[in-house]
Amino acid sequence: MFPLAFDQGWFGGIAIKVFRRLTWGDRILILLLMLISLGSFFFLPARGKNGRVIIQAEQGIIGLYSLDSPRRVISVSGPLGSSRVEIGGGRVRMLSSPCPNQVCTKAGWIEQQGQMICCVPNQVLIRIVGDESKENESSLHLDGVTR
Amino acid sequence: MAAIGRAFEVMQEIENQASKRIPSSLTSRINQAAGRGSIPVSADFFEMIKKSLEYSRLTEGAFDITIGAVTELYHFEDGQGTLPDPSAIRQKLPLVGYQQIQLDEERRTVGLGRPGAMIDLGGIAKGFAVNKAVESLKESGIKAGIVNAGGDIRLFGYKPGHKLWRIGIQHPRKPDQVIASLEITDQSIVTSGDYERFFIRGGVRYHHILDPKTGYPARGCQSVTIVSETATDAMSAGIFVLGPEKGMALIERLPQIEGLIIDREGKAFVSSGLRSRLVWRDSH
Amino acid sequence: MNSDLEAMTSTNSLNRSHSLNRSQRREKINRTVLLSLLSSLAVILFIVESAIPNPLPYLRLGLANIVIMAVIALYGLRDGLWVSFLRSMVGSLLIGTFLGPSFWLSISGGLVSTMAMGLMYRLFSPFFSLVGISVVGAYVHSLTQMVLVFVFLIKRKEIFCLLPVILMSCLISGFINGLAATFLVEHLRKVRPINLL
Repeated sequence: MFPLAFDQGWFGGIAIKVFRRLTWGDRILILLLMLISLGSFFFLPARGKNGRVIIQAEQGIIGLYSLDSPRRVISVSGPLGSSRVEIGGGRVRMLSSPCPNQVCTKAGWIEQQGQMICCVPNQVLIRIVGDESKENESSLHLDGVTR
Repeated sequence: MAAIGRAFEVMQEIENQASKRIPSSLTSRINQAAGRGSIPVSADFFEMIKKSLEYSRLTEGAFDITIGAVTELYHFEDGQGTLPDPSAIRQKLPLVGYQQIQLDEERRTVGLGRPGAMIDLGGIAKGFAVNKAVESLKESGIKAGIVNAGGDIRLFGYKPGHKLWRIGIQHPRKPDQVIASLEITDQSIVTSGDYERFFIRGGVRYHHILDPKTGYPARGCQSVTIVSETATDAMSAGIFVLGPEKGMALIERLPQIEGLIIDREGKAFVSSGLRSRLVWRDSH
Repeated sequence: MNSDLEAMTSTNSLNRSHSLNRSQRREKINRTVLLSLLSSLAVILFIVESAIPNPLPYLRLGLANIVIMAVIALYGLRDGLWVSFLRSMVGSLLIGTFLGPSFWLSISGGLVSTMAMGLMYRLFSPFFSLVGISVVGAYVHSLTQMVLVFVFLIKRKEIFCLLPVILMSCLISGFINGLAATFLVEHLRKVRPINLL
């Protein structure tokens, strides 16, 4: 029933005990959910580097930046105050935020396409999208340039 | 297509009348007659001169078409430019002043008071032509469109799918990049920048937006972008000359215009009504 | 202590509920006391969890779920919903997120997942153990919150990029919580702590 490593040692003992406690319903359910969870990885947009950073606030997109630009800090105002986003060297993070839980600043740096940091209290969303992604293209498309 | 052809004709006609390079243009004839008399002009041309006087008053002389006498000394149009002798500028400066423009509504004539004075409509003709082209398109029953005359843009109606137009604003120091973009319709967006026509002598940039008070290029800004109902390149040029502080104060005072000023250090100032509409780009 | 309580309730209830006999009354008191204890335990777990520095934000263990599941197993869905409600109310009041976005997320996620777990327990109890129910509860909790964030806060489908990570973590945390709840319920059924009072 178990792979070799699972029926030996203290961990194997616990694993078997736990497994015996599960009903057949549990086992089928967990297997199914595991397949769905793993499968959902494949439905993600392709990840890669050299993405663009999209910063959104309450009123919509407020900035589009290339990931590998020299370091800079961008201030974004939200309902609680000003959040600061740091971009540079191929990655981006929430440098500071006026939100109480600081989930966004604790998220640290992100650098992969598809990754995002979202600060729910201050309504700031930082996303990395691919250069070729449809959304990036449509947000980069310009009908004209004033000069 | 006929409507578009007509719009182009309208713009071409304004260009022909306003250009100082065409010897037979209204501008050239007014300049030749300066101090001696007035020239009868077309209705559109008369309206353009009237508008330019309006902007001169609004900007307290920061925008002034009679700067032409000084502009000529720089030879921006030859692609190389000439740094004029300070004494030459001093000599021409008294010829500058919009108060000398004589308009006669009845006979529809335009004249200059001082002999040797010259008008240069480079700062207003493009925007004016854009507005006339949009009027012409709308008269032809066109519901939506974009008219772009070398960066002076006016938009009306919606794109397919009821979408707004997205317009980029040129980065003043990175030629192939935009500093920000915004979504817009039924408005115009024009920019005056020190990067359009310029030359560099001794490490100093000499560009075509001259301060009518000094005769030298205005130094306060790198670029000024104005968003308003009709294309007002005269306004962006005037505010460029006024500089970031006075310029922004004027933008905030006038309810119908919004603007973005990039100062000489590259710092961006955005008017209150535009702040939430701009999407900053990379190069910001 | 035991006799005190009994004396108090017997005098009190003489004129109220003649239909309840002595052991039923005692059972009712037991229930009330145990429910309040469990509620405060849920609140404490809720607070402790929010204080743990989290290496991966958006992912939470959902320790308070252990308690809610135990309540569902011991006393049913109605009490489970109450404890879940109290957990969010009192917990967020104490942390200071009351009536903020995270409060609404917590209370709605809590109530919907409790509902799902309660119904599942009622309908399929012998077929699924608390582990299976806990895993489903964790999924429902996260998905509810995600949909709410999508509809009310972020309004961009890109937040669903987080889905795989969240689903996997739900499976793990749901599994662990389910085991914990199993042991808790077994223990409470065996020991019947209130009877010791």
